[in-house]
Amino acid sequence: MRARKKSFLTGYSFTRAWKDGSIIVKMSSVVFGLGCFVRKQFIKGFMLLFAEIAILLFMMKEGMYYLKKLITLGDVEQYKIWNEAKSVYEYVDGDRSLIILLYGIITLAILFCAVILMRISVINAYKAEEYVKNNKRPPSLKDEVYELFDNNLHKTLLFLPISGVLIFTILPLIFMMSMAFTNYSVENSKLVLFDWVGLKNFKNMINFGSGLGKTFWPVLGWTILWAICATFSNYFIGMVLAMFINWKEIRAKKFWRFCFVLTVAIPHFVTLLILRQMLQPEGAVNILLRNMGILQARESLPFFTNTVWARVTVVLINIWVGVPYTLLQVTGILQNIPGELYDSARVDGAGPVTIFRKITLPYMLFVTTPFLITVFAGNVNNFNVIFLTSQGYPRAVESTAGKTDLLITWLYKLTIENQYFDVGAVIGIMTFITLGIASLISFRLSGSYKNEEGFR
Amino acid sequence: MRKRSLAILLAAMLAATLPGCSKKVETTGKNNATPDEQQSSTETVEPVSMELSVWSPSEDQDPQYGEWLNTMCNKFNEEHPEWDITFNYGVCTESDAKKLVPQDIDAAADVFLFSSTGLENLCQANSLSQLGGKYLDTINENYSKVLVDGLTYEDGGVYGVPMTTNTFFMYYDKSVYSEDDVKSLETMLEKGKVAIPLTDGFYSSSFYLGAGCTFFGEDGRDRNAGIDLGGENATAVTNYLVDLVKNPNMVVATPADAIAMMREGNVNAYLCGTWQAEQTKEILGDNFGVAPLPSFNLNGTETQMKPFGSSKAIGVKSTTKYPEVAIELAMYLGGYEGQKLHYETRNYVPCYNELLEDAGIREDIVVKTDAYTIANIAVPRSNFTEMTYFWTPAESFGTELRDGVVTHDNAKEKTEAFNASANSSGIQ
Repeated sequence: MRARKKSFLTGYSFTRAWKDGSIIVKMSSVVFGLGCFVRKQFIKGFMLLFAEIAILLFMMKEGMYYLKKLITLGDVEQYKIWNEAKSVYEYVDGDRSLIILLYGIITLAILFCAVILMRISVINAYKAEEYVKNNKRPPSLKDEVYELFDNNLHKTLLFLPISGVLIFTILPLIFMMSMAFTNYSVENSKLVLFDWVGLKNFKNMINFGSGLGKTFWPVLGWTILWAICATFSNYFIGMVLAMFINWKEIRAKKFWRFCFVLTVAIPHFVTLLILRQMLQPEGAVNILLRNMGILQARESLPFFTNTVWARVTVVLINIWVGVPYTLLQVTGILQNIPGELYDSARVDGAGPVTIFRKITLPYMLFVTTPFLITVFAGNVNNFNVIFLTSQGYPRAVESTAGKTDLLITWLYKLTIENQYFDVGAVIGIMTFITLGIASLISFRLSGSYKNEEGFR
Repeated sequence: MRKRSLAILLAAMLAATLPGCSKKVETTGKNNATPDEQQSSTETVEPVSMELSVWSPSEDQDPQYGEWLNTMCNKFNEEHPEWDITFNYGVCTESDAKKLVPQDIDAAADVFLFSSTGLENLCQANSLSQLGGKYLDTINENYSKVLVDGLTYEDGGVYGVPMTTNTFFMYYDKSVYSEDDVKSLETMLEKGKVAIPLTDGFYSSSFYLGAGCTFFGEDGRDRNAGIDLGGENATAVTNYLVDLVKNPNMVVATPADAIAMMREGNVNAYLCGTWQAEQTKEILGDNFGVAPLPSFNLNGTETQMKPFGSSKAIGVKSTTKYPEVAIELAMYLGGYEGQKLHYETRNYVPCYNELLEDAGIREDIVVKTDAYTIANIAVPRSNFTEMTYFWTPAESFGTELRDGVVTHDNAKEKTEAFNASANSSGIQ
């Protein structure tokens, strides 16, 4: 949107070029760089032409093949030929849908590049033409390179990050997402050759009656509940802890801070695995309680075996590993709150609770809402804390997901352990949608979005 | 397509540079040694260089257990002067092969070990090479028909070289149990601690199989029969297991955990297959005892626990570039010498006929128990992909049993739910 507005302002949009340009401008859409050659911008013209030839060669050699195959995702079966001399079967490879899907999508991306190059070619031709019309010399390559470090510096700086995101994030993402519309799964042996099935997987997933839907909705519900509990428990406990340590009367502040941050020094997963071992039915905690006489000989607390216990346990574990981080982040912000605010509040007779409610909390929330949203997103996908402790248990016999399984751990179990890649892709998309909606709404409602200058 | 050509190019470059040099040095060394060989070496053709990748469980490549795979591969290379093979070793357990090989077949090993129960998965994913001609003849000649049948796919083709049988039995401490004690689970539980991994369907199924429940018919070959955990007998077993986990001498632990407990003396007997024989021998020393699964008292009738029986085999990737070499290697690994060394290093029970007649091996108590179990007790485990539906619910069910969620009151409903889940992927 912004880009179009800008090229309109400078007068070089594609539509205008197409409408007002001469035949040479129009021809530039077929022969890239033609306009440049005519205006003696040889190097630029050559680069455009070279790119076009390269793309055309690729399309002729492989691109067309993959595009055509992309429609059916391949249908040639592997077959074998008996080689009497060697006494072996020699196999001739058939189509492989996954490879076709991958290369098909790469081909589409290259075609997209071709369209962009065509736009560049046409606009450039038009631009050069306009320069000549106004009796100016069209910019040379040197001029344009110079521009890239001056007026167009933003393009130079953004080129690498943007292309990195496109190639390493967006492209694989499209590839993974497209699996959601196929039946790529061990079910009915669709691992080599699979087909497009449209929205069938999605319908199955959101259908309350199907086996998949019966699992999906409870897992989604728990994922959201977990993310809320995990985020806010860490946030508030970390804040209260930081405030205590910040208290004027508390001595040896650095020592206390050091104590709490010490848990960060141990790698996350080590802590989690140790806690898992300790909380088993025959683990250290239960045995200790038995020895102390609190539990009977073969009794044990159902840390990972009762739904409510398991859910509370994982939230508590998350507090243990997460609070030190919040503590560190919050401490900095707390020290930033102007001391006069507190002094005047105290003069007005406000108690500690009122001060917290009216000054500290609003200030904190204002500054940290964007941070909270990131933490929330991180918790929706908090694989480690669940997978390394409860492993999703307790799990009912009739379900593929346990009571503490998040969407992400369920996805792992379905794809890596059971090879239901199509369903996995659908879950991935659903997680993305959930996160997107939750983050957007909360960010829009937050003070930091509505009033950037707000808190003073 | 591009990826593959690049891979070929890289492989060719590697093959041309690295091993090419070393081989040349070797031949000149030989030439200097004896004049006779000099004569012959002028006639021999330059060996064909190639790279083969081989996958096996990590223990087979562990110097602590004799590096079975590496030793055999190097020997194979020496025995075939016409080929100059560079081996790449990778780790993949027999049961994971059915997933890891089809996942990215270009990156998968040319030769790998797999569990016969993954046969249908692997064949449906076009991952295995069929064996024929002289190789098939050798297989039919040297291995028992039951094993070969287990490696025969629906199309009638044989897709692997048998490696060993795959079932389980019981290791016990002779200082705690006598030979009569180990015949009954009840007696065993009175005298000492027994570890049974109820949370793993592979082991817990032995109770249900003993009571007459079937998995795809009696012989595991009737797809329409499905998994039958529906009858009265299944509920009776569930009720038995509810009581069993309450027994203070009953420990629910995986074989890997059980062996650690055995070292500490907290477990006196546990269930496992041949793959932990060596370690158990180390712990128990002279008191090392092996016996077939005991029987258990199901409502007054002594019922024999029955384990699943299947086999482990060596497979060749269908898309391998050197099918002849790969098949030769697979035959060599599963042949006389391969199985002999596997037995010596890791106590893998051989299944090569000639080896089984070897008196020393035949008298081995582990081999004996394994052979007895396969011949008399074990139930053939199905190769159907539908069999995989069973494991997840079995794990859930076992955990619920252990945690006391399954009780006498809900045993019937829970068993029915178990039966339903075991017959469905839960994904539709």
